[in-house]
Amino acid sequence: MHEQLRKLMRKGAPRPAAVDAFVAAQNFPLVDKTDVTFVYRGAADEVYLRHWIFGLRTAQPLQSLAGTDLWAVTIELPAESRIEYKYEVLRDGNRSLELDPLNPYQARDPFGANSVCRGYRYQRPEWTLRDANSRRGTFKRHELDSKSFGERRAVDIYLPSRFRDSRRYPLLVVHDGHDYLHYSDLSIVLDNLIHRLEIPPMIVALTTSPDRLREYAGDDRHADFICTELLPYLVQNFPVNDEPQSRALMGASFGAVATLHTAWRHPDCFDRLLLQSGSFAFSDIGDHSRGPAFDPVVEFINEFRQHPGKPAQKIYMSCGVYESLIYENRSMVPLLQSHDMQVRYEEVRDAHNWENWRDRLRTGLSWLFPGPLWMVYE
Amino acid sequence: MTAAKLNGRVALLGPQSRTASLTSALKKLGAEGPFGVITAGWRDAEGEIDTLTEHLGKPVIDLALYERVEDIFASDPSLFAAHRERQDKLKQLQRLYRVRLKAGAEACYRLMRRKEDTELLKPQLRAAISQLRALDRFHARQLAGMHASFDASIRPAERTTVRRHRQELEQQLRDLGTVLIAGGHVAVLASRLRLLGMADLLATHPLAGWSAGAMLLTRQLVLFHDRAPQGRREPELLDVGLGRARGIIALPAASQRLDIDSREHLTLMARRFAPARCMTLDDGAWMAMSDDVLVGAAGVRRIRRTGSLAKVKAHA
Repeated sequence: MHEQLRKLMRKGAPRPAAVDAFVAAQNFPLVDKTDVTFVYRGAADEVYLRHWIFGLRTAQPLQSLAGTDLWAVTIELPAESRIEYKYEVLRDGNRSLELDPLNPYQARDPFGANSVCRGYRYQRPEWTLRDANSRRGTFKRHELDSKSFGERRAVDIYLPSRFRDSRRYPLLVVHDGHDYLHYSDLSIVLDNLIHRLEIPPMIVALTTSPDRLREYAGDDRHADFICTELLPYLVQNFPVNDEPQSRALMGASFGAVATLHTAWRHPDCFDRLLLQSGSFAFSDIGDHSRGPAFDPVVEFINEFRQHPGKPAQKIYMSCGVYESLIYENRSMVPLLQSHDMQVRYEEVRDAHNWENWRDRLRTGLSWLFPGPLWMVYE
Repeated sequence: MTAAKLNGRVALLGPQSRTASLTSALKKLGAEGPFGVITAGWRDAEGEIDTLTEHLGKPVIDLALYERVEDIFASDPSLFAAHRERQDKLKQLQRLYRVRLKAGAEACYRLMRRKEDTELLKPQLRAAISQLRALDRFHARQLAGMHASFDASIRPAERTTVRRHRQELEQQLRDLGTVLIAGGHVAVLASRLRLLGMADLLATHPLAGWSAGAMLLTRQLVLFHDRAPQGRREPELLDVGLGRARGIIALPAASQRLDIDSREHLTLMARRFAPARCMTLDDGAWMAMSDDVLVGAAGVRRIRRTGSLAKVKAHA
């Protein structure tokens, strides 16, 4: 039990006023160097901590603290960890998933929001917050006819501040572009990193799929759309450096699969890849156990592992150690390196979520596209 | 003291944003206005001359090099295309140089960490550093060759717009004393100085430069940054500067950019560029030189061959 809770409970059940004072005085969850105590307050029959840490039981029961309406559980959590969670509350036969009402930190994702536990020494990087000195880039929606998909597809284009037609820019194409914008603060990150000279001003194309589990799972139509339709459109309409080493493709989860698959099918298009928590499931023999959505992924990754070729020159990869995909990502690194690709791989104490991917953007983008910081002495 | 008597005098300074040491350095030089200023002009803030005028309390004339070159490019598309092609080739050349540099430096560091008999180790390390020095010389020759070939085929000095801007600059400089070179993008500054043939135009003027401007006063422009988010990169030779402070490698904001606790990095830097002396120019630091002799300094440190830092004192 956490020291502060022990103090509260040392003389038996505290009065409600003492519990009120305790709750008002603490930041929740209670974070120590090596562990975290999650505290829930309220009437309930059972309370569980639901988290997404691969390797720990998904639902950890909280213990009721006798004579109070407090519930608590302590779990091991190494320094610099960041995890997302909810409470599963059983009350009068009903189950509900709730955000932690005592914790102001939340992370959003396409499915809603989670509470965020900032482990010991984790700090949100300051370059992910809006900097008043950073000039903002602009966004404009474009639409193009896709023969591959037989329909019009929208793409949002980010142009950096101080954009000039007479200059030429590197190009970054992003899978799940809107999710990166909404949940990973991509526009803030781009504005800040460009302002800090850590990446060069660049043109960014944000793509979105209406059926990502299918189109991102090693679908040739998607790869062809990116390389034979979107890329020529961008080259024709924007002042981008028309050379593979000035072009990067990125994505997370299934978006990373789509990134790798596109570069593998069209190896001369993008020399730079940014792969975050790739869903690189494979089977050495027999079937996999990840469900039918992964069938085409496994088929592609199995083939890729047999014949990797050289989809890109430089690849940045990251994965959270609390993800079930950590082993697949780890095993991808030596495979890529042994085929003469320059790989930078980062593991972090986080899970499969958009803020993990946000926090890695600085290292990844600046490694793929080093900014003029090297050249600037002010 | 008049500006004419200051021929050959230069001042190299660290960043001026937090601690403005420009007036101290100019006072030591005996430099007087009216001042001319050269900026990289590539970000809006650098075009602002007002702060400088206010700080110096004297008129400062913007030589508008950035705008002049933009005008040249706009009016001479073939020169612009050739310039762009050369810049692309320079980038490629730098990338290729970096491949060899990384491997060569890594060999030096690995040797520095070995524990074998010193008698056996020393000559190996000396030879490894010597190879790096040879690589830097080779790279310098490659760069010079590329610039010479550009000058021979494109003849920028004979282009109408370039000639006009040079004449205007010549006229402006006649009325100016000391010329200041601001910090900024060192490659942008270097390429604009080169295109306008500023080395000749500035030959008799006292010069004072801070940060990138200080680097440009030296002969060897050495890029460095140990703390970039993508990781450390080995210091690399970019180009040749105006050469007015010979024998100096200028390292602006060294405390922020260099890992000064890394003896092996600093040792290699000092030995690789010797006999040139690697000088740190942090906020507020400055050094004044006359005909390559140090005549005044404050806050400047030299990197010794052992990787330690020594305070620099003027001889006169």
